[in-house]
Amino acid sequence: MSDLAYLLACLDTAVCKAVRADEIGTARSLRLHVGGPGDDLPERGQLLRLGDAIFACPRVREAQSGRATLCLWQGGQVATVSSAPAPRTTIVLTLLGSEGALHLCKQSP
Amino acid sequence: MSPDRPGVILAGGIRSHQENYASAFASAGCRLLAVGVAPGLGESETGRHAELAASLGLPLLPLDQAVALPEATIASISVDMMHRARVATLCAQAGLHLYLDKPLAGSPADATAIAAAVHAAGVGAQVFSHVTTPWAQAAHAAIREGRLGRILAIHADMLMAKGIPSALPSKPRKEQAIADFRQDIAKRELTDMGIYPVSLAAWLLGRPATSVTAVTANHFFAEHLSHDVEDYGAMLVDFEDGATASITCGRVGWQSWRRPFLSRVIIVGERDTLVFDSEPAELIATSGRGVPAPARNALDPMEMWLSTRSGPRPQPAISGIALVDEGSRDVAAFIAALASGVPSGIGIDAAAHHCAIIAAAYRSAAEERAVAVA
Repeated sequence: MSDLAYLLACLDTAVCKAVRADEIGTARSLRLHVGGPGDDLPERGQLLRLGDAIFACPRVREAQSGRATLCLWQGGQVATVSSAPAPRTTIVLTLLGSEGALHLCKQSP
Repeated sequence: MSPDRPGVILAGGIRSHQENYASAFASAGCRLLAVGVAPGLGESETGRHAELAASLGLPLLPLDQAVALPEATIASISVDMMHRARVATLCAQAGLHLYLDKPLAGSPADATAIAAAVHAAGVGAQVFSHVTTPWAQAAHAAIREGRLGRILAIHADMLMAKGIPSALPSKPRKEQAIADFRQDIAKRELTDMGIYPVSLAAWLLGRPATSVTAVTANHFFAEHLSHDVEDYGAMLVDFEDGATASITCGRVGWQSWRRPFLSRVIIVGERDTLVFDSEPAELIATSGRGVPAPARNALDPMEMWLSTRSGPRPQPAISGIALVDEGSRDVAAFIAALASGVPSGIGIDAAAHHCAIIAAAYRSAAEERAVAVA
């Protein structure tokens, strides 16, 4: 498993655990950008599956432009996810909830 | 006119961004001359003009008299959205340079009318934005210097972490194609917040947008829901030459960020990706004031050992003390641009294009499809 894949797996676990623990109230909106070596980049579907796990309802609308995807879930939740090949690992996450938010902005030197 | 101390008239009232702009013009060494009341404003807005004049110790004049003051060279305009085209046109025709609240207007037609008036009068004009902030300038420099290679995508966010959220029903918002900008206790956030990342992304890319896909939502505030206006928006914007911008924006509640807002841009180039954000230079203060101290253990008053600890450690309050007032930079850049003749910030034609992007985003959200930018 690459460093990026490991980091994303840890992130998925931590985010879902925080949501289940009601740390941020009802999760409403996900912003996620992942950058890294092209072979290590997650598929678009994997990025959206984090939204599926957080929002726990079906997707109702998706749109793509380049490597960015805008997705709407049945409960009105919105995700804006993107990825890009980059020489440095970059992960930016903002998950907004009704009573708080989770933020991560990590870029390797 | 004293070139060192331009005279400014204020068109706008208290509880508008004119509060900020008046302060910024004064900080930039300008003389505030008067508050000008345009004809046709509502009773509430007229009253807010009077409140601003009283709070600043300025005369309250009809706008046509204010713009005719011999020392007036700049009009700072922050009237309600539906009056912006009329007020800006009046000020431009009087020969004043315009500093305008964002967004430029509530519709592409009004924005185009303001741009036409500015060009006809040959005056300078700048619309408030974040592009003159140090972090945006650093992002622009990174692109200009070619460090990133060809720019493929920009991902920009503007989240205002203010207001008290409520528990709202979880369901998609039904958007209207025609935006109504009557301002009350809640504003349309796709416009009010979205204009920041839209203008930033377009300015960084330096090319026109071609189409938009957007969604809006009511995620956080009962005030927005009760007025049927969105508190959150997200969009994908296609630009000429194939670059993409993804944008999120909204008012998201006081718990969402430790400062009043989070503004951030990720720039994806062929060679590298860089992240820039609005985190300011600040002192971090930790304080035990008002926080009960840990219980004193006579055997271990320095809290050295696990066995002598009882209960969780009390946490000091953490706060940031800003070192620089970033909000004044855009006005200072405008003053410098007038003096040098070199434009800075968001000019009138760019601002009109940004209004067209926002209008296309509302149509996209309403019609659930990609919409071309007119």
